[in-house]
Amino acid sequence: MIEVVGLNKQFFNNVVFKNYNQVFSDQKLCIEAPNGHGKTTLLMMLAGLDKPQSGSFLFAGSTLSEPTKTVAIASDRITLPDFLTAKQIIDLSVRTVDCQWPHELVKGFSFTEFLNTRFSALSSGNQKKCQLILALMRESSYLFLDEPSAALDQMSIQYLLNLLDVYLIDKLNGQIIITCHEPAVFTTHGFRCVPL
Amino acid sequence: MSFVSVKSRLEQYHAFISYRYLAYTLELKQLLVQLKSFGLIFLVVLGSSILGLVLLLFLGLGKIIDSTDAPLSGAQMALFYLLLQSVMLSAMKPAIKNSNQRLFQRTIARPSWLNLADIKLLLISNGWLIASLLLALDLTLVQWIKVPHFIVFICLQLGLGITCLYKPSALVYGFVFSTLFLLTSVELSPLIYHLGFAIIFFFSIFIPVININRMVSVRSLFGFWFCYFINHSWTLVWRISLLLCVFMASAALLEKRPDLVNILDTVAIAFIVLFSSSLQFDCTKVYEQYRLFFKMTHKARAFNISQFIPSILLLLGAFITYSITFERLNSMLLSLGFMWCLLQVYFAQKKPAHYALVWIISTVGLLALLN
Repeated sequence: MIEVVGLNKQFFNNVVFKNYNQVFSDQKLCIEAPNGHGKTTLLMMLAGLDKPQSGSFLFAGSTLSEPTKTVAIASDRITLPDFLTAKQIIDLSVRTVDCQWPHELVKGFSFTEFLNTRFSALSSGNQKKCQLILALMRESSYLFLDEPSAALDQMSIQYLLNLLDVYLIDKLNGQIIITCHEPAVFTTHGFRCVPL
Repeated sequence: MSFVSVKSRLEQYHAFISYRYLAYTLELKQLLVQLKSFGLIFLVVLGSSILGLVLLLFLGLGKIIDSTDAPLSGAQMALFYLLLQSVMLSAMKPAIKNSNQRLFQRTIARPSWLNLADIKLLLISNGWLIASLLLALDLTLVQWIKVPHFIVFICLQLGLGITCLYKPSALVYGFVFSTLFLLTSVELSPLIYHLGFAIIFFFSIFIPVININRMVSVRSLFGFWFCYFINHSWTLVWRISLLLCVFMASAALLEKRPDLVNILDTVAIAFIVLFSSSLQFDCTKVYEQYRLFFKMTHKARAFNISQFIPSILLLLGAFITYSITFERLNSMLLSLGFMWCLLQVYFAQKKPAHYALVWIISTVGLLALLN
């Protein structure tokens, strides 16, 4: 369960969250809100990659000292080194995060032939796949996916849904939170829609 | 083809060229705005010496023309001019080609129009070639016959400009092999040197690009930065070219005025510090761009520290080269340069608006102390 307590966040004069309180209790959640209402910002703050002006986040009742070690996130907001090939980015992440090389994920997303392509030269769908592989390979208890189906082909969406079906089996207190504008496909796989 | 269709095509061409001129001026303005934060104060200080710099440009060209007595140094100067021209044109290339809207251009114009517009804007932008042409116009026929290598040099300037636009990798190979040619050859006539350059650059066009990036295994921050500089070699190339300028100017001045060695050392160190510490501007940008990625992979702190290393390494490399070249190995100078570089790196990262001011005050202060 994730609790957001008294969250305040603004960019210059644009107030995104004002004393925002929310409890995300479902294991699989889909946050819904129109563009520009702070879905990605919230995920970034939950993952410890952005700081609120004030407020706190409780994961199973306690704050995380190093959220990046417990949370995996895939978002366009995180700029990947676009001058490296996809394989180099995965290599670097595997080495620094200390996890297994994601052979199965690469195969499942039909990404093998693009491994030696520079990230900047990948199509938007393949860039999304690379982001998803980097997040999923970490096997973190908390998985946040920002618009995971955007630009993905149907086969890859189906593969992702199958992965998410079994993702939490071995993760006690684990949670998957996604943001999506077309949640129908996810709700059929056990995701509950929550407005922001 | 009817008169009407020719007229219509000419109108289309004029509309396209007008667009390219507009895009060119707008991009140059943007380039100047980018330089403004870094170079406004330098512009104020160096502004008064612009006339002197133009004079130096023509003096160098004079040395290239009149290199019968010292063909090797003339050839070195010619290669150095070609390098500086390539550095300048590389900076202006996005403006010349309107690279960001290249695909858009192809939807509105014929491919040949694009190339024609590129060449037109290249000729306007190439101040080095214009200077050579001005000198060439001043030569008499008798003088022309005496300096046939200068015609080859002008052709090289034009050819390398075009290569810079369409096949920049050939320039890298060309300059490497030309430098080796200068180092290994016996004393030749100026014409042979220039023809040698032309042949080397011509064959460099056919050498395939080696993708070093894909061969490198990126498993650490060292690999990350290494790949960054391979892919953004421009950030190092222009600095190393300007450092080469500093070295050549130091050599020339030390030969003429050995009594001013301390002042010249200080000025050289000041420029070494300037060109190496300014690399921090690029590294800070890289840090800001990818910091979330490294935070996500638990390397935030190491990545933060690593951004300062390229500037320091460039300083050490430049300082050691200077010390060995001019036999001025001096721990006092090295310590001073190192501390000064750290100070400049700090300002480049934390207070970029004050960077140039700190450099100028430090330089003037040191020169005042020497007096």
